[in-house]
Amino acid sequence: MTTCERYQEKVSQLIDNELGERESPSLFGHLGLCEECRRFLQTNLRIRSGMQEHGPLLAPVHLDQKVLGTTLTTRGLVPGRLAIPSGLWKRTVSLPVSLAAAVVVLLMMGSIALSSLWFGTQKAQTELQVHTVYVTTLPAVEVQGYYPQSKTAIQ
Amino acid sequence: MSFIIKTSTVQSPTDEQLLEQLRFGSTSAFAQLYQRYKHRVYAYCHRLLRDAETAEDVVQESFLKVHRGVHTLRKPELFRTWIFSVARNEALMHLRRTKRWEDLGDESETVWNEDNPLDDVVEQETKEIIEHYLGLLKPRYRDLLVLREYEQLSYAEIAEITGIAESAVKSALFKARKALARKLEPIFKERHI
Repeated sequence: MTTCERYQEKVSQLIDNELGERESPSLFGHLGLCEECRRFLQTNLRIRSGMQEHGPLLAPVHLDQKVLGTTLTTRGLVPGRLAIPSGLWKRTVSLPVSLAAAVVVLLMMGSIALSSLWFGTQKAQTELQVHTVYVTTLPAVEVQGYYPQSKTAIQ
Repeated sequence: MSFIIKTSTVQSPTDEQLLEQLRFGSTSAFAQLYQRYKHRVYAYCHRLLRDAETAEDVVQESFLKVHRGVHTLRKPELFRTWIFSVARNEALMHLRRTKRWEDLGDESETVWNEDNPLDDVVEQETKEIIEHYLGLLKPRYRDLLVLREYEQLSYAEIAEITGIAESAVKSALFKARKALARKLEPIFKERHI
């Protein structure tokens, strides 16, 4: 590969916005001196703008019916199985419906058992706190006035 | 008197969200994904295959594969490259069947697929000439240029779709551009473009 070819490969990357920052100064230095490489850049920019002159190539309307009609009649899921996506590790597990129902029932029973245990503990803690407050509360005595000799305010 | 105008923006679901719904069997999610990508995938196939009818068949088959294979997609954030990759494989299968993809592993210097006399195109508009020469490139070069110029995909995305190294994408794009420039430069000069 000649020197110009190497620079033209960089021109190709420059057009694609994929040229590293470090490589740009040497390329622009070369472009300032080499007419052939400048022409290569100009021609490729013209090719690009010529390609963009074309309007978007749109899919024909009847393709919708072909694609959606076919896929809607062929369902991807295995019959009788329930897809459950797991948020934790972003994987989908597939379980039979009966097993999924059993898991749900077990979870509900477990949550009921846990909640009764939890509220029992909460009640005991509340009672204990009441006793503690009762013991530590002392009557507050407030004295306000002037002591006759030193006239110091006592509060 | 003053009026308060309440506006609300409805954010369209992301590809990842639609894929998640599609995994549950949502047909509406599939329809939305199809509507989102149909034009781009069709345009890509059309430019690669140079035939509208075949492009339609390939797009249909590609979306069917997406529908069936959605559970195999490990990284939903890469859906865009995945759909192009599926469409590309379908198009290549078609080209192989019709023996138009004659040299997948061909490392020869030839970039052109067939003879391309200049006389055939002198009367056409510049954009048509460019399209004409693009169509005459070997499919492996045309494929890369279409993905880059029309789909504006990065080298990394093109490498992901085509399964070749980024460095190979870079050098193949350069070769294709050089060949195109050599053909088109005299035409541009003649037309004072």
